[in-house]
Amino acid sequence: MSTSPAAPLIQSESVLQPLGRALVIACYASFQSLRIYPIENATVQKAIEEVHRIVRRLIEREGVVDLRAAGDFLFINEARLRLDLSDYAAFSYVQAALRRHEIGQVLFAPGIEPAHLAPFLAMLLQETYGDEPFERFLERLAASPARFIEVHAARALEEEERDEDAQAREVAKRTYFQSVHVAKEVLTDARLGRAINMRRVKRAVQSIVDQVLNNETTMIEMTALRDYDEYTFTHSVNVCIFSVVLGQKLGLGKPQLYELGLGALFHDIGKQRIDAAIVNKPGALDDYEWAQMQRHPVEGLLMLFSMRGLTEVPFRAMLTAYEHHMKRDLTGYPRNVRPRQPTLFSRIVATADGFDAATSKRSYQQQPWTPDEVLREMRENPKRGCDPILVKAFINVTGVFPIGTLAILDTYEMAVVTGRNPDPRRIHQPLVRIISDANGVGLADPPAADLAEIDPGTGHPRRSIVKTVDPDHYGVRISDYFI
Amino acid sequence: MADMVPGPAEPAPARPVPAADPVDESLVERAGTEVAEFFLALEKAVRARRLYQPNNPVYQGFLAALHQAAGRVWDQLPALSVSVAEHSFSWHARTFATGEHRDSLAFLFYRDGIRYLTFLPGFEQEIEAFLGVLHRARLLDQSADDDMVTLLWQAEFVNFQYTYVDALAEGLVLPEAAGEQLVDRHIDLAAGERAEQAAAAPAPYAVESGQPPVSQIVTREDFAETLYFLDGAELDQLNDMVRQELARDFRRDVLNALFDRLEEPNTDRRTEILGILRQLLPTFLGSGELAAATHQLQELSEIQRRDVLEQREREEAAAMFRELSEPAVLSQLLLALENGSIDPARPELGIFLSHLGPEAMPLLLKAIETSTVPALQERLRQAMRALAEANRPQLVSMLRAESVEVVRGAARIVAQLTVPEAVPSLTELLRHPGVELRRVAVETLAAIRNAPALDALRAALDDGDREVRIAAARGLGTARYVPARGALEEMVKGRAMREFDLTEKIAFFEAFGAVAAPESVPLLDRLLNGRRLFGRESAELRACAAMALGRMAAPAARTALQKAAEDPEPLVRNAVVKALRQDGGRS
Repeated sequence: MSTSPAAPLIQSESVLQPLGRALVIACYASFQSLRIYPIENATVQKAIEEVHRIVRRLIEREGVVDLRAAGDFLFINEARLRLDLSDYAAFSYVQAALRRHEIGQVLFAPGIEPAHLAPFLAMLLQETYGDEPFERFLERLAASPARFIEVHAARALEEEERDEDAQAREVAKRTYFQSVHVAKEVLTDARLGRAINMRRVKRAVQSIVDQVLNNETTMIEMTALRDYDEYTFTHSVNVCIFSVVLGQKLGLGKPQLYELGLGALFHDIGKQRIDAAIVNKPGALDDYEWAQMQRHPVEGLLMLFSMRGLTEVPFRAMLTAYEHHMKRDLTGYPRNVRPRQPTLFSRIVATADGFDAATSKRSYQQQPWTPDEVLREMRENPKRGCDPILVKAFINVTGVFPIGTLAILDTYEMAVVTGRNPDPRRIHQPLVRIISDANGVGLADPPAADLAEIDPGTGHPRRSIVKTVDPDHYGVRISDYFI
Repeated sequence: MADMVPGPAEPAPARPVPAADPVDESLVERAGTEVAEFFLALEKAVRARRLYQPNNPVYQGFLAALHQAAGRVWDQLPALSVSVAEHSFSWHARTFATGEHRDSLAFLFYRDGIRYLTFLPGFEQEIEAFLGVLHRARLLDQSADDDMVTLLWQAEFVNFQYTYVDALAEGLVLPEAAGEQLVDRHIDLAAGERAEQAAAAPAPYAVESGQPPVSQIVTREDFAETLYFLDGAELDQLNDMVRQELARDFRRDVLNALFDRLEEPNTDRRTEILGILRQLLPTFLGSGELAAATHQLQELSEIQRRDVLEQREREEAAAMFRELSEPAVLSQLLLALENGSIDPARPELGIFLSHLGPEAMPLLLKAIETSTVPALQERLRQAMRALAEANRPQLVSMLRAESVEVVRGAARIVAQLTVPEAVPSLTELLRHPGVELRRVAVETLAAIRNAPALDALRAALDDGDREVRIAAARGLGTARYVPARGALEEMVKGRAMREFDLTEKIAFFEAFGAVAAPESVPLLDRLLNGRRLFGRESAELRACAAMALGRMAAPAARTALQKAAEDPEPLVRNAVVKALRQDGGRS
């Protein structure tokens, strides 16, 4: 039993959130102006004054400002800053600046003035040289007029981060399997016409929303655990996770993320009314069976009306169940008589559904597509009917090589993608774990690697993906590396 | 023991907050009183929230006391963490009861699995929202979808945290990490590649169209980050999409889906959909979703018109329209309109009301008569008028209703529409013991103005109620209903007339004048100019006789009026002058 939070928790409405985000954006604006103008320039000064104004406000409220870069995230005084598409570039830039100097933490203390901030920000913008960038930065900082600023090395925080990561992973794992369990309960109850326990469903979706808000990368990792249970149930939860992640990137608030998650969890509920022999049939479906399968969106809509245990009519979830196969140009199914534009939530769920379904092994798809193939197909093939902007946003979430992708590197090592590169310019160079060496020998504790890492000797990345492969062909179970 | 889960909450502010409560006994001793007072103030505020409106000064007083109590706690403690027992809160071996048994504040949390609470400085700013959550939680029954945990989750408190029993964890076994199994696992790249080449790679059936990608080898495009960057225009587009989504009327979308499928020739599905639609209508009305309810009625009406449905299904659909007009459904809508939950000015109200059946008449009529919202009255009147036009027999039957408001309302519409079929019912109504309804009946008969209606009015001339008599007389006079001359003559020369007040006398004499013939002049001349044993008639009666003569336009009448032109009574003289002028104008 524990009452302490597993990971830094965030709250969308807190005062820290807007101020923290404003600080990051103001820093970004300062960097942009410092790149063009000298430090004395009025534009630069104005930008730095804005940074100072926000720092001062934070100090007034909190006593001190603690800006921390950990993993993919930035924290202000322990609160993880939520980023969305509109401030994505600013966050990435600031993160990259800190990472360049191996800075993990910056503390701003009372008494700080714009004259102290200006040299500090200018130094952050400079390139690094030598082997120990943090030590070099520290030396320059000490020699500069910057005062009331304290920096700490990223590596000093790494151990703490590792503990937090492990804790976060454990919480995420529990959330994932609890949600799968709830999905199994609900879908089974729905099939049998039993009353569903809506409180449990709500709790599961709320937990997913919380976990995504706290640590979306870890929660996305959990989607790789799909082969620990039946496809139907893990797929529902995976679609829920991907949808909430994408919804968060679009700036949806917590209540909307909940509604989106609920719709995603129930998106395939209509299949509970389709003959199980058809749903689970190995191999291709004949015309009749395919026609039966195509009924599931309509059946989903109707089931959500008749489901016992619901005291509120879940209209949005109904539309998600009904519209998620319609396609952007409405050439999917079911066909419409009256004018219709599928809702944004339906299109988000359709994107998440398309991705997870195509990358999963199912009764009639023994050979799933590799995640990067699916993204490419969704992006390039208009016949898939995906919303191109949402697919783009989705790729921003997953990276070009999504978590769980198995890849062969130019070093002949084999690697599993474990995360998107936080630098959007390196979206094609994910974070990986090397699971086998160049001789094909499996590594017990697969080391992490950043494919964006440059070999100083050659000036090229140390490792690059040559091809992505089907894990089955290599006898690899992806989930083993995420459990 | 079940797992405990901390609710999502803002972490403690940057100033140091101990992970656990202080163990310093002296601090516990010092703060004990403040903590006790805080819970006492909290309990009182919770109770006040149940009894008073948020703007009530009494409630505001309790709120202020709670604010102060919280402030005093923060003077002593950096944070207040308590455990929740069934009927009390505990803090360092001290117990604070907050109400009794299931009515206690602690039980509200306990019953939904919450076992620890932490209040942080700044909680004062969230007190009202917090009390709102407690109030809502108290109203929830055990079968509701929501519970305290969900309400707290939705409220997103910054300075209040909670920990609850994780019910989802019960019986859940988490898979173990693969760990050692990965050691020395050999991955044969060559064999894998052979397997890849051997695989036929059929396109998945579910992703049915288009060509599968040709290669899994990474392409140049995989590294072209511009393909993945969302530019400013795309970000704007995404923001617009979100804005539109949040403003969207998704009930209409759901209805359109149902109606699209209702048009398909699938009997079982149609039955199911009609059942759903039947439940939806009261749901929409109950939640004030008039636009959705109206859309449903319009689409259903259109489908009925297009003859898409089979006979049994048509009957099912027709039943929906009937149910719509039933008191249980309609009264809710009218209540919502009256109390402002639904704006009566909304354009769809008229369309919605146009779908009502005659069963709705009593409620509509009553609402028209009793509503205090003029805009609503007007909308309902328009709707009722249209409904009555199409359902005259039902309208007439409303005149026999028990409710005075309904009869009065029905009579008004009958008068507006001049429904001759209503005369027998109105005539019957003239015998009603209630004066108000007799007055309404007379006014309505006067508006109808056909012979049976005017005959009925003639019978009301000697009604026991002054207003009824006046209205009847005026009705007959306005209609110049000659067959009523005899009855009116009897009245004007009768003894009772002398007891009537001036207004009533005028009504009768004017009515008589309107229908009188030349042979009636002597009677009026006698009343105006004649002398009796003990003097003349009263000035009022003689003035009224002059008025009646003035309306006759007969030479004899003029002569009679001229004889009284110099009458010493100003009242009579004035009446005569006016009558002569009136008569002169006609001649």
